[in-house]
Amino acid sequence: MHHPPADGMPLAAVDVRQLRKEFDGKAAVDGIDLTVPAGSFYGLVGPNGAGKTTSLSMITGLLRPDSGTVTVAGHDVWRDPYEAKHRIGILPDGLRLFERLSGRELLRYTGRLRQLPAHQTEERAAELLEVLGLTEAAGKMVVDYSTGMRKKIGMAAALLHNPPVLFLDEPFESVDPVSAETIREVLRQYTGTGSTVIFSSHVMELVSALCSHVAVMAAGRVVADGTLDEVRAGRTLGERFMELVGSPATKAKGGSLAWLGSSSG
Amino acid sequence: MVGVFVGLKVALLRSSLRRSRSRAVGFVLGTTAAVVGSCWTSVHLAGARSANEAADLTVLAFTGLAVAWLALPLSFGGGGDESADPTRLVVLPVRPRALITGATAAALVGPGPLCSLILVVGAAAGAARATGGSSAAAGAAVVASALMLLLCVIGSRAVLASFARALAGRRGKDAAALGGVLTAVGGYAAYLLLSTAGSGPQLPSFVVRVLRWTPPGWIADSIRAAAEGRAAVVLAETAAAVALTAVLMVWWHRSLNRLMTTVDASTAQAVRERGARSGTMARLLTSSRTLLIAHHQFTSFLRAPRHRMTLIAALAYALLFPVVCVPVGAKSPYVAVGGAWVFGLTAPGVLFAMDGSAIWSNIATLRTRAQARAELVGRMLPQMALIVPWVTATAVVVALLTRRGDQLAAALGLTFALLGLTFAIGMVISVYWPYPYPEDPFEVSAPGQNGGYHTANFVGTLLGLLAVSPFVVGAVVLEGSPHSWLLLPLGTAYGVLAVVITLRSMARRLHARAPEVLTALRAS
Repeated sequence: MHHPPADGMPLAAVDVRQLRKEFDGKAAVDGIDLTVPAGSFYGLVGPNGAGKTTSLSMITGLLRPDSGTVTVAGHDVWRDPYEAKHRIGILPDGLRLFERLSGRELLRYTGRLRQLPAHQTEERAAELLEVLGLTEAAGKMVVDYSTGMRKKIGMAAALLHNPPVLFLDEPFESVDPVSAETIREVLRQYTGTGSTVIFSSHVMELVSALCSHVAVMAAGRVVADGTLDEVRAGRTLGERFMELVGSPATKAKGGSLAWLGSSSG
Repeated sequence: MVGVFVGLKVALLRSSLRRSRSRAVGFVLGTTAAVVGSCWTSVHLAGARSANEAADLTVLAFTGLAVAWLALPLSFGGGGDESADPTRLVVLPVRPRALITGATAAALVGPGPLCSLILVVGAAAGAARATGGSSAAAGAAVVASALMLLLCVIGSRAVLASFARALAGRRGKDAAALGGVLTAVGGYAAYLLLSTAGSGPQLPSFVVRVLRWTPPGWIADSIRAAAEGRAAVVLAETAAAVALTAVLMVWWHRSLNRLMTTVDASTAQAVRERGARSGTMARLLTSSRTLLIAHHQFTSFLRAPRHRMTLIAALAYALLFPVVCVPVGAKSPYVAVGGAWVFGLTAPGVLFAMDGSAIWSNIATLRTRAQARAELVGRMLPQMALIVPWVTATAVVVALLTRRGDQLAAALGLTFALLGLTFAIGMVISVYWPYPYPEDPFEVSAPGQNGGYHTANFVGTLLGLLAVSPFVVGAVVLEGSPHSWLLLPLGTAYGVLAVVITLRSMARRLHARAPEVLTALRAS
């Protein structure tokens, strides 16, 4: 269910222009442009260190960019955070949760920060915990959760205020296959109603299976973006990715490491 | 293998210093101070006068060192020393005997063992010299020194390996963190007592007689026995100490084996369920972000050891400082001002530090200036709710004990003025130089991030004293006058005003700079 404006062009849920960030004189994100259509399932792929997490942090208002603009649901994240923050759900990577709260308390705390009515928070929290298979663990402190459980409770917190745009940084990392399928199902339902998901990953199969649109990042730049079919250009996403990013595996195909595997001992 | 292990230890030490210049400088200064301190103590131990006194001192010194070495791994784990980490040792493809030998050699390298060696040699030399300085006593002193150091190091590593599993779990770490704060507070209390009372600890003689029968006591006593020509006793005591060291080695090795062949069950522990909150409280917390933050801070004070440790230590320092000042001559409730000052050094400047990078969820929802103000007030309220009654009670009790009730009102006025200033300055420091607590609880702060915080804290302390000086002058002028009570309302108003004015501008700054606060706290 898209929301096309009058001229028939799809409305951008996220619009990023010339976004740039340097750390110690080295560009981590080097002037990227992204257009994420509303209702799309958008995959951000790239090798480690490509700038995915830095980009997502800047797009969600958690890290100030050196230059560039970010618009989410029509509101500039850095000029008008009052309107923008309200429309963003975030599951960051590499940042902690409040670990000394139980899963349910964490959702309650998030709901209160988001100024949701108490009864709505309770209802939604109970449903999210149930769907994500966390009801039994809801009374345990997050510090005692496994990595997969942390991703799931983080996702529940991100979804609690039903934002139109959801940003997930590596949502499937260290998540067991059953939980991953649960998360996928929740996200499919969420995008099915016109909401937008942007997530980063380096698992190509997952991105191919889930996404309608893809952007490939390498060394702080977007090297390809568009619909899944446009980006993979007739091949698998994995092959295309290796081609775009440059595969170090070819080095091993030459003469080096010739000694490997012939050991008799 | 000994060479490999010692090389590894040196390489680890060197690369940990390379991570930042301030670390390296801190390490060199700390080590120099510790070595100089050890030498000074050692010379005093060696110079003890009578034979009995020297022998007793040696027993005390040896026991103290042994206790310190055994307690250290329980409260500080490996102390950040990766070569001591038993879970890393077990994965090395090395045979057990070579592993234990190598790890022992590596454990003998570093500032800790060096200072211990200096102390042990001093104490042993004292015992040998005071008992006549015969060649037998000198020989026994050399053997005793070596044996004592080995016993300390091997015992410490055996304890560390044996408790590694327990300490690796979340609860073990929580318990160890509290052990750490007790050690720190105890050490501070001992330091204040020693430096103010001026005399050394006087232990009843039966304590020494009992300690003489513990393993460190055997080793210490063997020197006196050698000087007195009791060869059988020397042999028996030395043999017993060697046997104990061997047993500790076997225990260490067994623990390493067990670590390697059993699974980590720490995540399978039963955990407590956290109950739901009643209706009124829930409504209050939903309506006010300030109360929500304050409630959350209080919850983490109850549940998070790092948070609890920081505040308990701050409160303990705020109590100890005035209490220790009283017996040395400051017989006045004005000592409570010192308590407020010490508290100001520790807690108000780290308003966001205890949240760590988890603060992103607050920053992601921070939309208005009023919310930024709530973030600040909500974090200060629990600290104020603890420290204000705490220093008030201190001042009242001191006033009653010293019979200076006439000074109480003025002392409290001065205290509240200073407290208000420290919270005002703490807000500025928290917003501009947020302090990142490191991931590893055994490091004091994340590398390279803390310079600004420490400088700001130092400058802020001086500014605070400067800003409170009108009240100091007022207290001096009004001393003994019937109007000195005026300082209480004036000082309180001054403190409140300082907080309110600073709050306005800092809430504005926090609203604008919230992402920068998160950037600083990402390291934690």
